[in-house]
Amino acid sequence: MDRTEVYTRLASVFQDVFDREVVLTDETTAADVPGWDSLNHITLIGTVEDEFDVKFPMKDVVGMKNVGELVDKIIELSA
Amino acid sequence: MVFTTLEFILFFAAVFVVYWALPSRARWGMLLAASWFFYAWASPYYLIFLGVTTGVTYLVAVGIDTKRISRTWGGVGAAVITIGMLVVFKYLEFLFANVNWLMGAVGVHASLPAVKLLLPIGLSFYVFQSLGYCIDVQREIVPAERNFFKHALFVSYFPQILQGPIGDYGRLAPQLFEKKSFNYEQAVFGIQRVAWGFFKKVMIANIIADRINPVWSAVGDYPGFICWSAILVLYAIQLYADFSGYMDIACGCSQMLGIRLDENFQCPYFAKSIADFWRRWHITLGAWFKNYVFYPLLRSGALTKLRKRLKGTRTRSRQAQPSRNWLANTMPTVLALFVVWFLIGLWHGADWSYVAYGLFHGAFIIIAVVLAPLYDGFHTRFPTLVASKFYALFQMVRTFAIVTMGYAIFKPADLATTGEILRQMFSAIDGGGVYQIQYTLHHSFIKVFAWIALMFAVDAVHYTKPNGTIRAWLRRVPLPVRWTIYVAGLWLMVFYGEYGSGFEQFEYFKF
Repeated sequence: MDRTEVYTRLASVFQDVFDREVVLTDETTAADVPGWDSLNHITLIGTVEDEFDVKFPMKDVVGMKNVGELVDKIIELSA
Repeated sequence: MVFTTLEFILFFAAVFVVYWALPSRARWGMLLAASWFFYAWASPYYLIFLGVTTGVTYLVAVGIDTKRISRTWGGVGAAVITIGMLVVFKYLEFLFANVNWLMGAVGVHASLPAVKLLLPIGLSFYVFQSLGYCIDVQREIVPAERNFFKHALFVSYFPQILQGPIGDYGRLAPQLFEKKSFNYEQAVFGIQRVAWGFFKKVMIANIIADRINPVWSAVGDYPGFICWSAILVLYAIQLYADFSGYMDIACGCSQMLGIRLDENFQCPYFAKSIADFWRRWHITLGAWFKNYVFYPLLRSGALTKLRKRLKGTRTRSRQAQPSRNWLANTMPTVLALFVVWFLIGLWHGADWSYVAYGLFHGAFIIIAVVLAPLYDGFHTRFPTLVASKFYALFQMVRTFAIVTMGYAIFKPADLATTGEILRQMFSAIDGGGVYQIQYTLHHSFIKVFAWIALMFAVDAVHYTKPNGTIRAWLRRVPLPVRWTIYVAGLWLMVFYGEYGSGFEQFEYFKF
């Protein structure tokens, strides 16, 4: 799976969770996406896991800094 | 040993001098000895609890790290033993009373004894701190500390052991053991912060407490909305000055030793919502519950299954079923929030009033989560209004009013008294109530408003420019002006502050 495909599917997950279109880049953080706070973080992570059929360890759930790291992790886990 | 006492000032002065006089490698050992001495000062008997917590969490963390015990069972074991200790010493009487009541309600006679054990001071804080560390080791976020005494210092570091902030191992531990040289600027910043904490405690918190403490045992004497609004607002200010003043002293002392503690407050009464309030008030407690309760709950099998079931069959055309998505995304969060706020309430104390206090705040957060689509619609429809300063001010006042109402549950720690306060508050307006509160505060109280205004003015500066602007400004002003401010501050505290016998306690010690 390449990064472009991950980004396309991820954009759809973000729209699903936050109910709005979001432009994602490697540098996008929670502060850039309205509604992405600690209350919604796990819902987002769970929906990403469903979409890509992966399971993030808790270390990554609490430690990922931006969308770039999320994409790296998805590619790593689905390899 | 309480921060606002002469013995603490002497103790800390000695620690500060010896700490920087020692070679770097010997400093952490000295800090451990000082921390144990500090904690044993209240009662040597407390060292048993500190020792058990330190020993258990050390063995579990090392056991998990060396794979001698499984990650799951290690985490469960640490939680059961440390939280178990907390249950026995903090909640046993409450638990037994409720079991007796429950059995009575179903017609079975039960008479578990009313066991009231002495709660070791700070237990709720260092149990949470060391349990959080074990979970971080279990999650492979940090490695286990193999040196028992280094682990012991992390658990017992004296500036934070009695009342927090609840430390994060990854941020705190490296600072405790790293080599560092004395930094004059950091030491001065630390002293300034300690002085600011003393100012809040002796010039604001103690004076308000002195005036309004009699109110809580004579609630019926104070009728009317204006009267109770004044009392609750004053209590809100007292609690903030007390708790954040303590944190300023803790963080300031630690900064003087070259160790930065996590911040516990960030202008909480400028919050625009209850969720925002809890990101600014007792930050380390909220972060603890988020990391170790809220997130694991939402990732549990039961809530994950619920989310999937509510969402139904996976489909690419998600937009076709927005209401289903909303329910699937919202319902598990609401259930997890309910549990978390129940527990945050209970963490404060063994009484249903504390549970009610937690759920009171939780209810507003849950309502905000459920109504988020409505809020979003409002924000989209009126962007100019939402971006205006007027709207921000409205949000702050609204949040402060809710938080202040919550103190009618929190302060009395007794739901019957809370009910009486509400009855008095919403009884027919009685001029006598206003007179009564004026009499209680009495004329000399008026000058305290200047100190309260100063405290919030400093917060307002930090709110708009969050990077320590005032201390940087103080550093730039000419030496005579700076020293005039220092001497005036000290003079005010010594001659106008309220301290000494009867004022040693901080509000959060009882938790």
